Amino acid sequence: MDKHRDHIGHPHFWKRTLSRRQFIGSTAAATGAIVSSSFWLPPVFAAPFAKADPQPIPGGTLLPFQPTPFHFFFPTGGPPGAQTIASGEGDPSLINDFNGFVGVADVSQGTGTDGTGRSLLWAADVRFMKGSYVGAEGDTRTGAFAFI
Amino acid sequence: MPDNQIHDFNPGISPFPTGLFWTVPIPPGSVHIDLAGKTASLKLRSRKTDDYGNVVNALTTDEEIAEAMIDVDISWSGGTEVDFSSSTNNFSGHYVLGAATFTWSAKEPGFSFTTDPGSADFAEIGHERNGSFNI
Repeated sequence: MDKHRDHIGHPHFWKRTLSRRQFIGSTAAATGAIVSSSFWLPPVFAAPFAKADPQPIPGGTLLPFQPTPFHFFFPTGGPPGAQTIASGEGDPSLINDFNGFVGVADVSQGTGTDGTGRSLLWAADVRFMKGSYVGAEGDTRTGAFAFI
Repeated sequence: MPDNQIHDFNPGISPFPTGLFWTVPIPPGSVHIDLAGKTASLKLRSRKTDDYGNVVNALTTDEEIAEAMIDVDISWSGGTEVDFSSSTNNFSGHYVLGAATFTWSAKEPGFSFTTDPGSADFAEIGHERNGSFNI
C-alpha cells in the first residue's frame, strides 16, 4: 500500500486524472488518423436502473469542473490532498447504503493495439460491487454493478 | 488540458453531474469472489458504454462522441489483508490488497482497440459496509 503514497499530491494533476480512467491516447493528437470500417454489435446487457437506482456515495473528489465533489475516490493519486482508496480514507464503492463485496483494479498505463495495428497507450480504473443496497425507493435490494 | 487523449469510455454520470458516477448494473454472474481464498474475477462481454473522446468532455458536457461496446476480463489474486474504516466517509471493511491481471477491449463504429495483457498497478478486493449499513 505504501508504495502508492508517493502519488498523493502528484504535481501533474491532469496526467493523474487521465490515468484513472479508460483512455486511449497516442503521443500526438490523432484527429483523422483512424481509418477502418464501421461495425456495430447489439448489446447483450444494458439494463436501465429504473426504480432500483442505487444512490451515490455522499463523499468524493473535488475536481476543477464543478463546485461539489464527483462521487468517487481515486485508487491512488488524484489532485493534491485527495482521499484515496489506497490510503484507506476513500471508499472503493460508488454506491451508498451498500453491504457487499468490492473489487478495484487500476492500470495507470498499459499498451494495446487498435484495429489498424497502431500501438496506443491506455489506462483504466475498473471496479465491481456485488451485494445489498438501499434503492432510490428506500427498499433493500441485491445486485451487481461495475464502475467502468 | 492534454491533447493526446483520443477516446474516453465510461457510461456517464446519472444524473449528470452530481449523481451516480460511471456505475452501471451488470449480471451478477459477471462477478465471482472468494475473499477467504483471495481471488475474484470480473468478466463483462459486449457491455454498452459511451465514448466521450476525453475525460474533460465527459466531466463537463456529458455529450458522448460515440456509443461503444467493451469487453473486460480482470482476475484478482493474493495479497495482504487489511481493515479500513473511515468515519468521515462512513464506510468500513475487510480488504485484500493484492494483484490483478487485466485485459480490456472496445469496439465502436470506425474504431476498435485491444489491450495487451497486463497487470494492475493497484488491486484490491474486499467486503465492506457503508452508509446506513455501516453500524
